[in-house]
Amino acid sequence: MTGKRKLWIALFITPCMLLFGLIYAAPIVTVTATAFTRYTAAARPVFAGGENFAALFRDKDFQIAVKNTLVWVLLQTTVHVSIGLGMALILHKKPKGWKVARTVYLIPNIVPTAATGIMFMLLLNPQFGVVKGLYKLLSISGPVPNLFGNSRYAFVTVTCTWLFYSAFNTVIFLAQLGSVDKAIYEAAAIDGASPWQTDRHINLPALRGTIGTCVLLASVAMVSQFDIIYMTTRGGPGTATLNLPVYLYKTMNLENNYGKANAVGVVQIILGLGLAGLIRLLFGEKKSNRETEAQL
Amino acid sequence: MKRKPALAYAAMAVMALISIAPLAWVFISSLKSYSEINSSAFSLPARPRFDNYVSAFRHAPILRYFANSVVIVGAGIALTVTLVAMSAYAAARFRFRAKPVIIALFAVSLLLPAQSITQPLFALYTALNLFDTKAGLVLVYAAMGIPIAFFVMYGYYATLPLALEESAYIDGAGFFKTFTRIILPMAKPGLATVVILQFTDTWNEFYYALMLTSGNRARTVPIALNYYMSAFANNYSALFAAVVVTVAPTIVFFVVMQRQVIDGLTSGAVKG
Amino acid sequence: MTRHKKAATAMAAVTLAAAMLLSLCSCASVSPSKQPATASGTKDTDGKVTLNVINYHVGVDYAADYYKYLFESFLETEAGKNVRFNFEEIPTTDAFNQKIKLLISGGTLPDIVLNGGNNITELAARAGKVRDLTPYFDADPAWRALFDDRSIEFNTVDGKIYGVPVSKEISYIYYNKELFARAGIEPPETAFESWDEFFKACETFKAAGITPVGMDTADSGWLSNLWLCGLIATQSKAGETWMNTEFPTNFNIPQVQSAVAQLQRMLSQYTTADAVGGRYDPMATHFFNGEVAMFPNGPWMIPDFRNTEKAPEGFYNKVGVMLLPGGGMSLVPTPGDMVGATDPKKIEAAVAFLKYSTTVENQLLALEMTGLQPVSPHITIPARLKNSDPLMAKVLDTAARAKVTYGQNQAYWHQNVIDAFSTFLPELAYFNITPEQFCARLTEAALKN
Repeated sequence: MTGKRKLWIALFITPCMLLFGLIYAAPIVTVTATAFTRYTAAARPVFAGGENFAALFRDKDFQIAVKNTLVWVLLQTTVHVSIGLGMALILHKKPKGWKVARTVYLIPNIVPTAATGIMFMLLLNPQFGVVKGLYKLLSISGPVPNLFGNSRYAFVTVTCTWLFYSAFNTVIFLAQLGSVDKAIYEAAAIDGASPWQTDRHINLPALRGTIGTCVLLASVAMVSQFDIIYMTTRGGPGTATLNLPVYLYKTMNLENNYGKANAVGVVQIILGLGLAGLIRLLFGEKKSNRETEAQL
Repeated sequence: MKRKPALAYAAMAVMALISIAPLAWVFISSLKSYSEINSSAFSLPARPRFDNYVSAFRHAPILRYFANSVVIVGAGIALTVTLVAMSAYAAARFRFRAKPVIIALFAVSLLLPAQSITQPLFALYTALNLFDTKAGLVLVYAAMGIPIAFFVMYGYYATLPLALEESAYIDGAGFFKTFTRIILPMAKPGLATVVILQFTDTWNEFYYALMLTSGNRARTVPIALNYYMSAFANNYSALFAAVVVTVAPTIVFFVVMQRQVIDGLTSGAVKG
Repeated sequence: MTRHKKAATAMAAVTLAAAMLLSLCSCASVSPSKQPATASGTKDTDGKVTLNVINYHVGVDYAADYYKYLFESFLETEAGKNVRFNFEEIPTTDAFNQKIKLLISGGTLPDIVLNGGNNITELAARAGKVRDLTPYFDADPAWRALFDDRSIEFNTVDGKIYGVPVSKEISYIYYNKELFARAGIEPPETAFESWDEFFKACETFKAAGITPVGMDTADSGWLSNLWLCGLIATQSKAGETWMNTEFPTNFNIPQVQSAVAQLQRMLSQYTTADAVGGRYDPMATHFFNGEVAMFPNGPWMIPDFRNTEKAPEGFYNKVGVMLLPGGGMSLVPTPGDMVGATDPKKIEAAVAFLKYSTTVENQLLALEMTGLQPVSPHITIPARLKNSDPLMAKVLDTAARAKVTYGQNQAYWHQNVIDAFSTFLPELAYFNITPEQFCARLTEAALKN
């Protein structure tokens, strides 16, 4: 590499890192450092070793929070990403009305979470919501299930507020599919390939790396999922929808224990990085990437 | 295409339904009276009532917040896209020592809980006089968007063929020229994706918007909803109206933006 | 488009973005007006003292009008004529409390710190972010005499007074006269003699197809909390003592367990379907619309009965008042507003405002406008109230006949215990846990503090 090129690379990277550093440098340091201190809303941090972590791992609720978080990661990386992928494969073929469908599908993503929360709470309200309406319509007797209020249904209900809304992934997949050479499709069409064969042999291989990215982003998003849970159930009923961020929120804002809350934050980061590592292993570093690096 | 189109249409219909139906239900309910809401979930209002909309506009400076949102989110997107278009390119095409560190840092930042970031960030913002400024929110949103945008663009650049770049270099074009003339035009679909993702991510951001502002100068749409929630907690039809008032301009804005910006970007793409 | 044009566009975009970033940064750092509402400066150039206030009594908050009046009228007084207010509005107490906590741990509090509960007083005092007001009370015995010892004690941390309480909080039961008549139940003059009688009435209501009580579980489970505290306090002397203890840590005692068992019965049999997982407001709406017969709450709800945006026309006249069975009423001092200013001039002005907010005149006005009960025990209620607000007069009259008074969890329990109460109530309602397990959960949460 020439010196001039090195300079350009530095010029391309530095502004991005400066902004990123401005916002994130202090938080990353504070969170990790204070996780090892006794630190409350009213008192400055004092070093306390691994005390916070010991307290966490003894706590049954914390274990439940980790478990729920992992279940959500699993659902999101499989079901959620698959739905997004399926929609992308459909829309990519540009069936009639695909543009409208793409826009409509994105709408839930731009509705503020607070509004989504209220919307679902009202929609599923056992007193006047649609479940009650359905029960009436189908003349089912018996009490209307309280979907957010009963721990038997709450986890599934909360999951349903986001699991199917995968337009985020669809957009990423569509962009990637747009970069596939049109000539390949023409060749496939001449060879008489069925749409399924086109998906199987052209589109899916082309998306391999992108699927990895989406799975990674999905798992990261689930490790830090907070807003909608807070808006609807606050981790309840009982511990039915308690995950790490809600646990952290409660530790920080209700117990005012900042040291322990940041210890939860550290666990969250380690868990997320572990998952990221695992996902990279599963999907592999893209080969083409290595090649391009070597050649230039 | 010969794939059973019925299946594709069924899938599209289901997705459209679950995306739109809850909102449509909210809209219809906003026109109902309390007793109508309470008696049947599916009925239409006997006489549509629009008075709820009048009170929704009275209780929060929604238009001003909307304008703030457009400026802040727009500037944030511009900043993220510019910075990431450059940095992800450098990272995807060239090997340098700091690369694994940068990628790890981005991953960590995605995992940092907002609650823990706020305190140090608040202190920093007060010190830099960025508190309660549009610029302050723009910077947070731009930084917040960097990691995801980076991962998306990094992946996208990696799939772009090298041939055109190589010939450009052989023709004696410099680094920057090659980037702007060859790479950027090819990267348009990727950049469009980043624009959409960044928009959906920051348009709804509530927590920083509340914690890092103190007046109407820099407050955004999600905060208006908070006004409504306290104002209309008692009154379902007004609450429904408030949701519609906050969501509707966003949807209109988004649809227009998508048509103008995204389609413009994507259609101009050339493939090597 | 030619290649040149595209490159030029891209360049322009980059330059523009860079320029924008620069200008944004620079304008932010030179503009003096962009101070947080919490930054403490000194006197302004025109000789006026600017007091920063974060106000959550905004929008349709029950006390929004009263506080607007209070701030404005203060500026006309002798002590306030050289003062200017700089407001930050934060709708909802939840958002307000989060912000105040953020300021306690990492910033500067506003000059006047309105108190939104949440044990803010203790946190702020321990962190040294609010001023000790004891000297001001000592210097003004007439002012000190306005408060009873219990209210002062409640606002004292480590022997120093930090908060100036403006009210007391009481709660009892509102009932719908029409629904009582329809079920053929004669409402008691002051209260049901016992919980047995109360539950008998609930059965009668149920048989008549009327939902007997309003309850909730979300947020803090406010209504359920009021029922529970009554159940604990009125059943025995031991229960009464326990309910008057701040920050209890042991809930595994028979008084609490048996009360929780009764609460379980109420949640599962005598309330609306959406009570479990529901918030306070929709439950209030049920009461306003004549869907539940009895609803526990405090006087601040009275203005809502006349507010036609919330309740149907004429609802005010249908409401009656009674104490909890056995003559119980919750009565707690309230956390008072504090002073966060550091500049002596500002502290003086802030204290002057807090004094102004507790004048007998303003306490009475607060009572009339918002239903806030006067903090001063000896205030004579003017006769005009009987005409202007007969229900409020009835409340004051009924409250005076309480046999048992006790605290309630919003004031006396730790935040995370209230949260555990709220999140585990649904489990209790659906019999997923026993009353004993419920109490064990509360104990566990209390011990984390």
